[in-house]
Amino acid sequence: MAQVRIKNIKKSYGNHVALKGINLDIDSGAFFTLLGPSGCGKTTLLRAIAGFHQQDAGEIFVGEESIGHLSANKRNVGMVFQDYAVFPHLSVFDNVAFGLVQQKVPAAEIRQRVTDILATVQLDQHAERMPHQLSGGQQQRVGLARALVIRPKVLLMDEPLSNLDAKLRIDLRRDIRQVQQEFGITAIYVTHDQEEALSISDQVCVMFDGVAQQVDTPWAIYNRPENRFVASFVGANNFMAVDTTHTDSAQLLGQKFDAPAAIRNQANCVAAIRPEKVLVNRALTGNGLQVDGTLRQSMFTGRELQLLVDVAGHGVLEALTAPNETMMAVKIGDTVSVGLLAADILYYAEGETGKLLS
Amino acid sequence: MSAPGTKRPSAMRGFVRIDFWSIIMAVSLAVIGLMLIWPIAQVLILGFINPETQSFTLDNYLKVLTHPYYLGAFKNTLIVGVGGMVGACLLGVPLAYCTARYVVKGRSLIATLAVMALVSPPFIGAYSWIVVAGNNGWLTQQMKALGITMPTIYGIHGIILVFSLKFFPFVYLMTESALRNINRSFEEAAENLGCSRLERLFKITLPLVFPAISSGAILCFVLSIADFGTPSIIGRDFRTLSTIAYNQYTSEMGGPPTMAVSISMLMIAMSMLAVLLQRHLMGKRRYTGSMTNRTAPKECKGVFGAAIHLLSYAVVALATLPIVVVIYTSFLQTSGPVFTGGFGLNSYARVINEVSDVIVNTFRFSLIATIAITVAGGLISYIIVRRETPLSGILDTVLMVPYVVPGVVMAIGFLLTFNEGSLDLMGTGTIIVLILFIRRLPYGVRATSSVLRQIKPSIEEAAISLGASPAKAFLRVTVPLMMPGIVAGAMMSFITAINELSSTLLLYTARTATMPVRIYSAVLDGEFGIAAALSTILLVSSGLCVFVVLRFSQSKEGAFV
Repeated sequence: MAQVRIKNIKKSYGNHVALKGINLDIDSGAFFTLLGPSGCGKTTLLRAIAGFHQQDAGEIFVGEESIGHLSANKRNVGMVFQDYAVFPHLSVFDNVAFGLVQQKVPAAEIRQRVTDILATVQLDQHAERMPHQLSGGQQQRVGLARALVIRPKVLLMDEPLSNLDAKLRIDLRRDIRQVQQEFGITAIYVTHDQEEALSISDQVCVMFDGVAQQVDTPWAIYNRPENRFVASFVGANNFMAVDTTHTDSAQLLGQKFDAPAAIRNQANCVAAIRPEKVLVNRALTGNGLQVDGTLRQSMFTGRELQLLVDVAGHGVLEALTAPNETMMAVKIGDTVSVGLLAADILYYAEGETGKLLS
Repeated sequence: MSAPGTKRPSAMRGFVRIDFWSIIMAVSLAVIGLMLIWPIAQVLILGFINPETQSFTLDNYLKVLTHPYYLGAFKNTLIVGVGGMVGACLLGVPLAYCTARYVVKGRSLIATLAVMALVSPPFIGAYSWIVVAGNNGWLTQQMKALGITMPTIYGIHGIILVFSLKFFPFVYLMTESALRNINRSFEEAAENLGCSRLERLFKITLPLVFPAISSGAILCFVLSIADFGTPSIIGRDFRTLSTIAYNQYTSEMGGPPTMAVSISMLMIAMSMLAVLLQRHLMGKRRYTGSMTNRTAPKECKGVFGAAIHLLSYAVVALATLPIVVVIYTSFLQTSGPVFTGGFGLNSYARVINEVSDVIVNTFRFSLIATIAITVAGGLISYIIVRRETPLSGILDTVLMVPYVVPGVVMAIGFLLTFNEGSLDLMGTGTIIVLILFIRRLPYGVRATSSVLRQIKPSIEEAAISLGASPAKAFLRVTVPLMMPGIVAGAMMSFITAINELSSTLLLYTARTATMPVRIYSAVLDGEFGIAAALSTILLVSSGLCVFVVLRFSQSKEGAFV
């Protein structure tokens, strides 16, 4: 539909700088997600695109048109709200027709378009209902239909699933993605739920402290986080201090290991490994290191087994394995071996947003 | 990369945008400045001026604070204020506990009667109690026949009795809703930790509803010290600040009302101090209620159940007694001021023949004021709730002022302001409408803003993102959703407008007299028949408005506090 370009957007509230110069290029038809903890600026950015906040500086382009100075009702961007914002005094049909009435679309066409979009979001049976007769999930479908029916150039979604319960969230997530692909519409989606972000998006922008930390595909965000914040916020990670004081070789978990060239001259850095890459009581299949530890906790969640292993003097590592009876039989306090493959370890510079060293 | 050059993007636009709402803001501030701040400033300043030499002096205020005549009235005001407040709490809190925690049959009847007591004008209470227990009162006569001499109703006891019965519904309604909203788990946790029922009441339940009780209590205090009709009708020689302010003003006619304004400032100071004290006591005590996990009222059988019902109904029966008396009296046959025995409609005939103009005046003034309050209240509450700027904060704060300014004081301010040149409104209906408007505007704003706060801002943003302009989004989405609050607020404004006495009494002329004014003079002249018939008309009108509110407002009785 339309490419969206965000040019150096800045926004402050008093002394608090919410956005510190955001630059983004969003491909036409892409599902683009702003992911981050609360207060990172993701909602501020979305609302600036919608026109509810005026940015202090910077520009927003949709296609070739600059929209940053337009008032919110002239921008033709669809918006789906966290709290649905379905008009409680209007029926489902009238809610969805609202934007078309604003555009003075002929009545017959309104009827047709509303009916079609309600079928798309599976609400064709509920057109005459009032919002209070609908479940939360149904109300959000109304919100989605209402935003899509005006054929916006961009669809904005502000944590649309966070008020729904877990099961419904996954159903509606699939539907949103499907409808977005069907319409081929450029979507900008805000969430703090990393699983949601990874599963639904073409591109994810991880935000923190008013800065876009990394913009990438979900695969790259998870497997090659560019800085330490992204590595810790998206998915779980074990961070371990790397001792580079020894001139011949670095030490990790008290073991000598072949440190990659990138960290050899780095005074302070940390190593990171995903819990699912931590091998407990299993042989190393390649270059890496192995050390003994004490099992502190074992939690069986059905699909997997979470283990906490205390490596004396080096902290506790979290490991995630496929459950098996042998592992289940290991008792708390028993000694287990912990193995890390060199290929699975990433290194970061010190600091909250320390860069990936490679 | 080139954007079409026609529209120059400007990041700075949007900060000083002169839109519909900025204009509303400017107009509101101007109106409130002229009609609220300026009159009160006049009152304040005049108190510092020596009436003979026109020079600055502190003597007037010092005199008010030292002269025995004024000090006596000050003390009396404090006594009736505290007395009314304590009385209202003693009636209101137990009643609230009964109906919130036990199954009381006809709970909505009790609430409705309490609301009726609340919306009936306070001087009806004073005068009914004279009819019942005055020197020639019905009860006094009955008791005399039995050889029992009743204690006099006149003076301090009467005033406190009337205030307690008149204002307790504030405490009752606020406390009841707070009691119902307490999360059940708090009380269960207390019991689980070893509290007995009674300990639980004093250690958990009452502290949790204390903010509600104290807001109700302070309201009773402020209204008690501001009330003019009751002490003036039933007080006899017991003078309060509002009665002496009125008397001073009327006796100072011609000269500058220096002493009246000095007394006025003392009254404002008392109210403000009370409100500030309550806020200070509350501090950050804000307990959020629970919408779901509430305590269910308990079924009570036997003696205890009967006692609960007896207590509940006795309180509201006493409170609504004046209403019954007034309506009953209005249907008694009279000849001139004398009741001749038997029933008849000639009080109403006299009302229609002699004072139909005051009925027309009352409804005309009140209707105009109500429409103005409703429109202005809706717009101002929107500014306060949705456009948070330093200016809207000021507007919000300034709108607190009428709560603490007694009607007599506001009227004196108006008389000082609108008396000459292009502002000369003396003796017009306009000045009556304006004072009704400014005195009740805050209540209108509060009614609509509380509804508005429940409407999520995203609803309006949704309309805007779908292409509606801000003004259109307000009209098409926000206003319909605010409607229940607007209707309830309008009804409340109308009720208070038709019953207004303390300010209009100083402003009326023969052409602009209203029903409460006429009732007041009829009571003083002993024309009880006319007073009762007019009061009944007021009561029925108020009752109809109450019915509309109960019918349309989601918060039901809560809409009245």
